[in-house]
Amino acid sequence: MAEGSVPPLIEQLVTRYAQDVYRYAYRLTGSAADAEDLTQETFLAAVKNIHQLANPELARSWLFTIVRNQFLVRHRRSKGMVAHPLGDQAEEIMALDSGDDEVDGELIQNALNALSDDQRVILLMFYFEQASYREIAEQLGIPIGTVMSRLSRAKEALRKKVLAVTRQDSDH
Amino acid sequence: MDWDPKQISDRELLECLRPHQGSPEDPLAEELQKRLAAHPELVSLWQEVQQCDGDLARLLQAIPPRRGLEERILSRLKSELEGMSRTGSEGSPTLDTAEAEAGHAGQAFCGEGMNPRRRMSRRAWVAAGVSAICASVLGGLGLWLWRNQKRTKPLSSVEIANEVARIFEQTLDQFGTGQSFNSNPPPARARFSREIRLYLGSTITWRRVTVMANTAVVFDITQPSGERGSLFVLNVKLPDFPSFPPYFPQLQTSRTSLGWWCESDTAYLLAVLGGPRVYQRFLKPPSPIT
Repeated sequence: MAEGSVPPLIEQLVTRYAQDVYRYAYRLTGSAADAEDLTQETFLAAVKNIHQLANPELARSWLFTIVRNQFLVRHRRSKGMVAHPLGDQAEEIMALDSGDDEVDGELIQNALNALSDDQRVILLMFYFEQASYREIAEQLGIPIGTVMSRLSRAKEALRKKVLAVTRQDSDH
Repeated sequence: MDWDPKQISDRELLECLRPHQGSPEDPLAEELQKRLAAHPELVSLWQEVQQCDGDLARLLQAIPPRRGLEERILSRLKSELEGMSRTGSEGSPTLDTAEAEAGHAGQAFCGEGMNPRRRMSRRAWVAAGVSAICASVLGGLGLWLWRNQKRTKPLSSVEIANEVARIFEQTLDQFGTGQSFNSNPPPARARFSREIRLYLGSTITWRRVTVMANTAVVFDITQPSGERGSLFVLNVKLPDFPSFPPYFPQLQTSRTSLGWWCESDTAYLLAVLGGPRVYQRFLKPPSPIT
């Protein structure tokens, strides 16, 4: 590698996946500036650990893992997961489904920001990475039963927040 | 298995399983199918969950692209790699050496796993113990010497620029809280650069910070337009600093644009909140070529 030059593989990763990583980082952090910093740090970490990328076809999920870990290292809170009481699930799902045209990206972000870091990470792995409950358990190193309960609570919490903001908006 | 599928509630199964995920052998998928057969009302609820998940996934991905992101990342990577290659010759790991080390580590791991463990004699144990003690003592001594030695390696522009960008962003809450430039002039050695452009109504305060063990004076400048920037002044000679301020910032983060130059034995680093245009408004326009 020439001194100071960016390796071609890294350049390709930046060109192809920088915006994907940025979108993920944006949903994690909730702000464009923090998301860009996190994206830059992700690619810095990628350069230092490029030898770990055995299969370039898996680069996207590898970068997502880095951005998630970077976020957790920076923002890990000492307190544990926030438990939310179980509510009437069917009613909430129907309500959100009927009004989804009014739900925009900013509203979703506000709802995400109101969740704990752990809940946000697990939700984004499910929705953004399309990870299965098994993959989430493996990546985060927690039991499958714990993933099931945390994920269902996080989804319920997100729906509640989205619904609350939607209702506030419609009241105004 | 640390859980029993039968103990998972209906809601957890509906929320966590997707139709296309989970093979028939998956105990949870099997359990879900059983419950859907036993309680047909759950089928429509599961469909609603899938519909809702699809909508949320789509909304979560809908973020406008960030302009110039790729260029800024590549620029920063280049700066970092330049810094790494400078320090690489002094023992810090570069990408190549890190790869080599990772390769050796992998080989060592495989070797240990493949070879049968040999029994060690008592003499070998004693020798290993003495070696370990000697190595610890020497290592500790080396660490002590390393920590107490004076830094002789010249500072590089990239190292200083990254540090100044970090200080600038992390001490924004102290911006403008220093002493007034007019009523309490700064030390004579910390000269304000003539290259900085000031307008009627610009305000300047100054304070002291430490940049990589060097005391620096920072001039916090607020332009009448509200744009903010800090000029870091260090009395050090830095051979790789240019002798005039660059028209385009040499380092950019998401918030900050930064450029650096040297005037005789004084190093100047200008950090501004904003992009290249804001940075350029803090500098006097280049003189015409005569």
